[in-house]
Amino acid sequence: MEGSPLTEQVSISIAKQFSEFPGGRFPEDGPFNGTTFRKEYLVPPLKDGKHVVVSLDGVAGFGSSFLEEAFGGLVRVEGFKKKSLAKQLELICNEEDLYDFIEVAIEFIREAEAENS
Amino acid sequence: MVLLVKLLVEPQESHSIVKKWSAKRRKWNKKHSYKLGLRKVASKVRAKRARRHLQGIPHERRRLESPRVHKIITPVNLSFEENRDAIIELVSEIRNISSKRSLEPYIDFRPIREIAPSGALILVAELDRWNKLKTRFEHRLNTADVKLWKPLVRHLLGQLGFFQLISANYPERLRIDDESMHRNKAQYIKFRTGSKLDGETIERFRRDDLEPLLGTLPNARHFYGAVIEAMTNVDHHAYEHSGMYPNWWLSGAVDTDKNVARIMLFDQGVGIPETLPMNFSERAVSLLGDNHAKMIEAAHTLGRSASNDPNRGLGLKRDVQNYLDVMDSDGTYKVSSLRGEYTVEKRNGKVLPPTLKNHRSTLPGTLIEWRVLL
Repeated sequence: MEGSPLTEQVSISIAKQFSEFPGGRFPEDGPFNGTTFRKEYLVPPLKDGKHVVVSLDGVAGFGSSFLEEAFGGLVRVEGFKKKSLAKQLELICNEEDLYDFIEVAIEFIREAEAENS
Repeated sequence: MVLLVKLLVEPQESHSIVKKWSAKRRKWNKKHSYKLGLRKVASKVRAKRARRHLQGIPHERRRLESPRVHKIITPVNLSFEENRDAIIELVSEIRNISSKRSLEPYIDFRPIREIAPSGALILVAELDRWNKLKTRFEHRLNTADVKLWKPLVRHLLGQLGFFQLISANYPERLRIDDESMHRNKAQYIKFRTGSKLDGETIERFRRDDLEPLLGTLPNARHFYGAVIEAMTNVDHHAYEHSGMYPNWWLSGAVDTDKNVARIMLFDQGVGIPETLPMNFSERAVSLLGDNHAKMIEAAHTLGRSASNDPNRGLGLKRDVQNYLDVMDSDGTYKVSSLRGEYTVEKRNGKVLPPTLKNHRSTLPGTLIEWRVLL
């Protein structure tokens, strides 16, 4: 990342800062839905050009609705490009059984980009 | 009050009033003694007849002799797989009677000899719905003769939380006896219910109820994803235009004899085949109810959902069915909705193509079941 303007890093732990039990797509589905997570936790630092590291460790699991709305929604609703997200957004986990969910989230970003183009 | 005042103020005079009334009563009694005697005899005869008629009938059953009581008889086999039509008929009878307030329903559980968790959960959901009906003012369904139920049936229904829903107690002594008799048999998990997504309930269900019976659940995070996504579907689609209050019921069972754990989520919505957008030919076949299994299969095709949005309709395939794909052991994933049944089996680590079946009877709702071989 030589010469990158991204200097400030924001770390978000879904389990600690949002909920251990995320689920649903819209606010009417419950307080820990994908739209709320995207709008309150992801969009503000991404719009400020910060590097965002999201940790999935500690959550009970994820449903597709949450992941699609939170991560696919960055492209589909908020208008971010896959290319810029590849630089700005990092999904991490130490617990092995969460890798699948990272792959699914990345797939949703790819699919949203494909639909938009 | 006037008499009391008189007694306090004029004791002499009040005493004479009482005397006067007693004399009047004695006179009336003398005149009507013959009729009074007849009345007494008649009432004694009536009481004797009633006692003879109800001799040997326990107190709780005497009320059931009333013509207002509508008796509902349960089928002998409460297994949804083996006796689907009878269970659907039972649910439909309970639902029909719920609108007739003039009748007092009573369910007879004595005939049940066989029981399976899916059939029991469907019945539990119907009884729970009954208790939530405003028209019933929270009057629970009547039943009696708990002592005469088959002990295994009583034990399993007790574990499922059945006695919270009906107007009968499970005596502590019976409970202890049943428990000691069936300690190593199948175990049912107390049902949980809700109307919205509830991740905490899924986690508690796994950690506090399921895992103490079977040990660590394989791929627990995918299990969470499967159930939360099934709940999302209930919330978003299942009760569309139904006029019913959205609800889901979650339960499970572990049978160490057969080495199988079953987890089920049931809703009483309009059914998957009704919520899915159909083309003209599908709509025509759907009217006959012959393509319900096919429609359930279509709902498991990515991107096809009631919303018609390309980014939605992902959950059934990616999460709900996916739990079967990711779990280490063999098992089965089954969805029953209206007349359709969609089953996917995993055998020797290989997921087999789905099997589709259309039944004659219509299940009022959708039952999703994951079976994990231990």
